Amino acid sequence: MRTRLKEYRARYDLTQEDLARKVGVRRETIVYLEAGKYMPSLKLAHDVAVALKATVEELFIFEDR
Amino acid sequence: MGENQKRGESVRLAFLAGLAIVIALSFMFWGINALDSNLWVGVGLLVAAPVAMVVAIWVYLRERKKIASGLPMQDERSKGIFQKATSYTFYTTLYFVLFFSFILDEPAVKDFVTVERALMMVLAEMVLALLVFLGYFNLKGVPE
Repeated sequence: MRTRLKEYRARYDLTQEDLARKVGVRRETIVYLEAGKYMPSLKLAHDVAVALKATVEELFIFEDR
Repeated sequence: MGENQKRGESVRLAFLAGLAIVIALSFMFWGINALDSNLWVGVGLLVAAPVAMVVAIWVYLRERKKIASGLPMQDERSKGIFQKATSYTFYTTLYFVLFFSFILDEPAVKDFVTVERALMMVLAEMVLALLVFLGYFNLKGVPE
């Protein structure tokens, strides 16, 4: 899984901590999400998408293995 | 994070801090009691007590700062990691106890391992396994 979180975060000038506060998770979770190391729940993916004014498909890119 | 959630997290943190103090004090009392019968165990526990206390205070201050700034102590990822680590610890402990039950019949082991020691070894294995799995899954980042 690849994510475009960093790019969208930069667009709104948000730090990882700001985004974490907006979606109500720990900062580490945003770090692992950005690195594509953590597969979020549907709710978290939705909350992040809402916070970054994007769609889930725009933020999270699933590649075929 | 709402005010109610903030309050809940603060209460949870205070409870965990209290638990850490109880554990550190238990280490100290066990250490003092063990000094007569087993010097090294006593010294080890007396060293572990302040170390546990310092780590607990450091974690408490760090988490309190995070809660004050509106970040939660727990989220879906940390809960997932804890659940996965505890289930792995459970299976590891089952294998450890099974292994223990096989070697307990050996004469050399039988003389050394008393019931108290066996219990302590299993407890130590559980705590160590939990810490190792928590660290591993935290680094890996994927509680799937």
